[in-house]
Order: sequence, then C-alpha cells, then structure tokens
Amino acid sequence: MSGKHTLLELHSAKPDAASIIAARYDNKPDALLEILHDLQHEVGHVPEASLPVLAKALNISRAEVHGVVTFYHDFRRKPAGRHVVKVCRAEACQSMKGEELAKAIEKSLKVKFGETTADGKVTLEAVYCLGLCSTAPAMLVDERPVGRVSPQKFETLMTELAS
Amino acid sequence: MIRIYVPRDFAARALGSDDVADAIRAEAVAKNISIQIIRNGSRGLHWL
Repeated sequence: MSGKHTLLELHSAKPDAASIIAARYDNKPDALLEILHDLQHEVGHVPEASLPVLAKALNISRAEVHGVVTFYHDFRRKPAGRHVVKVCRAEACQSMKGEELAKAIEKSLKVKFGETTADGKVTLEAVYCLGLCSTAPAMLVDERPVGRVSPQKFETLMTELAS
Repeated sequence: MIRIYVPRDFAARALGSDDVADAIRAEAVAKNISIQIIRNGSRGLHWL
C-alpha cells in the first residue's frame, strides 16, 4: 500500500498498474495476494486484463492467478459504485430480522445482492459475519460499521450518502 | 481538565460512538471547557 504511485497515474495506464505493483514485490509469486490487494486498492478492482500480466510477471500460470482472484470474493472483478454497502447475512443477523432487512434493501435500491444501482451510486454486497453480532443486524457502509439497522435506518443512511 | 472516555471499538462505532465523541468535542469548544477525550474499549457495554 505504499504511496509511490497515485491513483490517477495507475488509472491512466490500467494494464500497466499490475506490472508496476508486481515490480514493487520483486515479481515474487509468493506476493500474489498482496499484489492483488494493492491492485484493488489503487485501481478500485482487479481488471481482467491484469491477470495475464500478473501471470507473466510472477512466472505462474494464468489459471493460478484466476484461481486466487475468483476464490476470494473480496476481489472485485468490475468497478464498484461510488459507495459500497455490505450487509451481514449470517446467522446472528438473520435471527434479528436480517433477512427482512436484506429484502427491504434490495427493494429500496432496486438491485439484487452483488449488483450496482443504475445510477452507479451504490454497490450492494452480502458478507457473512462482521463480528457485530451483538449489534445485529449489522452492515458496513463504505467501511463504516453500522449496527441495529432497520429499513428506516437504512433509508436515513442512504439519504446521508446523497449529501 | 475533564477526562471523558468514549469507546472506539468496532461495535461501539457501529452504534454511533464517533458521533458521540464529535458531539462532546463540539459542545466543549462551544462552551470553552477544557476536556480530554480518550477513545477506549467499550468492554461490551453497548450490549445494555
């Protein structure tokens, strides 16, 4: 996560971003996860075009890179919306009306989990336990934890995002 | 100097402890009271 390269620099040359980041780790195959994390942090997602670039730089197969990227769901394959909402759908939250909340959120945003609203404002994602069981149902709004969420509270949060 | 402890663990933040700390800070500035805010752990008290 070093600040050697600005977001803008990497954005302007997306396929290059992967090789720049890989070089930071001396193109070591052991560092694949760190490289992917940095790539997602700096570009916003892991572009398809960067997979063969990484495979070549680290001297591993494309299948191997593909396997790692697809195994960890936190790696984003496409750019996200301007805000990301991660709703906990694990057992403790389910027991506190989490599923009702999830349905209300899908209805409110007019998207299913894993999708981004048409205006590109919000990407809705499911997560399985944030460790916030004591404040269930819980969610993250752009990395900010929010507990005891009700459909009404969710609407308020979305209004705040607009401002 | 008044010392005020406001939790900053994940669960406390999920219930708005950042907003509480901000409100205390703003009020102290408005009333010109010297305070020290210490962000500590909640020890699970948010459960109550």
